Amino acid sequence: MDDISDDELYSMYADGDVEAFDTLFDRHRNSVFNFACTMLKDFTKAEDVMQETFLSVARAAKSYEPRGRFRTWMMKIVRNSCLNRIESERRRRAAIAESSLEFITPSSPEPPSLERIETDERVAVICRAISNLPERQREAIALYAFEQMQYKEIAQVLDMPINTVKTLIHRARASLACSLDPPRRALGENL
Amino acid sequence: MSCNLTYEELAEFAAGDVDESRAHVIERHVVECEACRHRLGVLSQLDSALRQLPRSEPSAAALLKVRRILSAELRTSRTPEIMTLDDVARFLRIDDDALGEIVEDLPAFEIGGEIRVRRTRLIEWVEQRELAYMKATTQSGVSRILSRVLAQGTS
Repeated sequence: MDDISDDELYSMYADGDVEAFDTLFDRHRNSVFNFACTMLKDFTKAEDVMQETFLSVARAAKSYEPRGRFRTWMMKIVRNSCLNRIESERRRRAAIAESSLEFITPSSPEPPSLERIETDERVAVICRAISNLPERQREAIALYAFEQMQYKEIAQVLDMPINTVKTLIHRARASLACSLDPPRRALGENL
Repeated sequence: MSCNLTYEELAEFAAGDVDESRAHVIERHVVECEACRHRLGVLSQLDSALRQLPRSEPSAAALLKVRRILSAELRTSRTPEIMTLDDVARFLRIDDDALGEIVEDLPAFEIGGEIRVRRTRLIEWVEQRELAYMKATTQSGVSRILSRVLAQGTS
């Protein structure tokens, strides 16, 4: 089924072909997990998002309109799921801070960082720098670098104008370049 | 042009996202400015590394769990809400003989002389049987059932 498009597979699934869904799962599971991982910086939560996303996709077959945008549509589901988690976490932390209970709340373990995927020093530096980017830059660069999406597709997933996407990506690349080039930045880089 | 180009401007230039006249200005500047040539070199290294970053992959345990949940979801969602006895046998993965043994216990109803089962009721019924089985069955009980099944398989 390798040469069948995502939309065709999803339409076959909607008509009852469960194997077509298995192919979609195998084709996209790593992208979904990796994007969630980059957004949430937590492997366990990313695995939960992967499960949630594919269940949502499995349940939405009847309402999906095939327009060649399956991947961007699915990544949008991943993003929304991640944003909901990030927002709940923010609310939870705010509530804890408000009730001054933070000192008795067990601190969350440091999220397993992207170090797991380091293969050499440069990759390690870039991965650490990506995980330290502001949220919107991080999600844009993840789609740009890992998924090799075009600006237009990224704009669809992130629901923002193409020019905003370009700005986010260039800012992210500039920050990442600085992390690869720290001595010169210290000598007066104008950023 | 003095060297006040930011990394961000160079990043836009390197990606081809500046207009033509601005691109000419930056090109001319870069010829003169060693610092900017160096930074363009770093951006080039970065861009090539970005295209080769290894993705994080889910653990085998997580994949197994998601596959199991999806499989249950797909099987359930593909089954009609109102089921015939054939649908029930397929859903429960049993043959006609086994269906015959349980048919009187099923949460079924009759319509136009035909037997039908509502999927949601069937799932509840299966869950009740699971619970009852877990309560009633001791380890030795499981062994007895296994022995019986194995004996049937070899006869």
